[in-house]
Amino acid sequence: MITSYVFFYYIFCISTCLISGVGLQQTFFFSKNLDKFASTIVTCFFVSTITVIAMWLTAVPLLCPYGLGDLIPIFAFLFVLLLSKILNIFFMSFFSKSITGIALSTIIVLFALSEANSLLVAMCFVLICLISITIIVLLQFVLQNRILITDAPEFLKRTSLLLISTGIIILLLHSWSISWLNLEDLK
Amino acid sequence: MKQNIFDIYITAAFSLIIPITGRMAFGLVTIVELNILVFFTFGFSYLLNFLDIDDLRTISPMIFMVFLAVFLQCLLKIFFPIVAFSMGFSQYLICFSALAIGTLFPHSEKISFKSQFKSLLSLMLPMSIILFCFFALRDVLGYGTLTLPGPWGIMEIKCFRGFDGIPFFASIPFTFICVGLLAALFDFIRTKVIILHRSTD
Repeated sequence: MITSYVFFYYIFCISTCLISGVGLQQTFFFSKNLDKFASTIVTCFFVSTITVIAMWLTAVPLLCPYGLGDLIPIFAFLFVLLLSKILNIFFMSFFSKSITGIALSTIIVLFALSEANSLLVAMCFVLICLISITIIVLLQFVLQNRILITDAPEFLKRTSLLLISTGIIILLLHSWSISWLNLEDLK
Repeated sequence: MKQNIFDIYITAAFSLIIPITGRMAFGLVTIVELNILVFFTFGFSYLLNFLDIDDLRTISPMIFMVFLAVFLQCLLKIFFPIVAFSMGFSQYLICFSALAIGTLFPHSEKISFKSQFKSLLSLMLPMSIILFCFFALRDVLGYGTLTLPGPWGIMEIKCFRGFDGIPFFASIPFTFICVGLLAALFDFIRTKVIILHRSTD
């Protein structure tokens, strides 16, 4: 079972978003516009959790004993695609809004399946990834708003200062542990 | 280049540079895989256009790309098993960066295959060069070596005698700062080019 130490370690110290790159691409789009963020995170939570359960109960026991574990990403992606399409029909008919996040859900599912050793741990990893992405997006959104009101040149305001600030945030998150004493940890 | 296209392009590049280990061997594998994924999927999309299969035009290139990524991963496991093992989860990130670049594909029946291919090449060539430079720079500064993928791991070529590199230069925070500076440089050049175009018009 995943301990609370590991849970927080994956969220803050080795943030799955910043270090492993889960959803890193999406965080920079959401940091500029939070409009669809909440709906994407909620959709991703449902899609990823259901897909992880489905993969763990069907694809993993069927494929892994025969050495066909490499095919799991294909089945995971197809399942995410199918589930997203069904949810999209539901959202379109009730809220007249389309949903996004197929790529994000697939990355989270693949990360959870590659890191976990049981179904419960895999579901915990889905939660960890989503919390980590939420924290980074909110941090970057605040940073971006602060950057926009500064007197910095226009070409620095768009992406550059945000990226440099994110680099410094990682250093701060790492200072929580004693990893500075062991530089190999940062490689 | 329009602002949103520029943003997609920059984020697709740094989402590959940042999480993948900063050694040239992994960089070379990443560049080759990214180019194969992008160009083969472009060919597949063009084929769908050519055959007038409208219903599958949005989903099937994505599925094709994931299939191709898994196939390439299997090939990597056969030829460079230790590199494949070291890259682990980050191999899938290449596929999803390629998917993001896929949104920039020039989809139009009116434009010829040659001109579509040329515009895609003009997107991919600078990106490959930037990726290569970044991975090589991180390797040289961080480890003092240049590395190549080999069947028994990675082959190291020592660059400077007595210099083992400073690990911070291979770290993720340093890469973020470097990518930030690079994005600033690109934005600066882009702004100047836009001003120049407006003044000539």
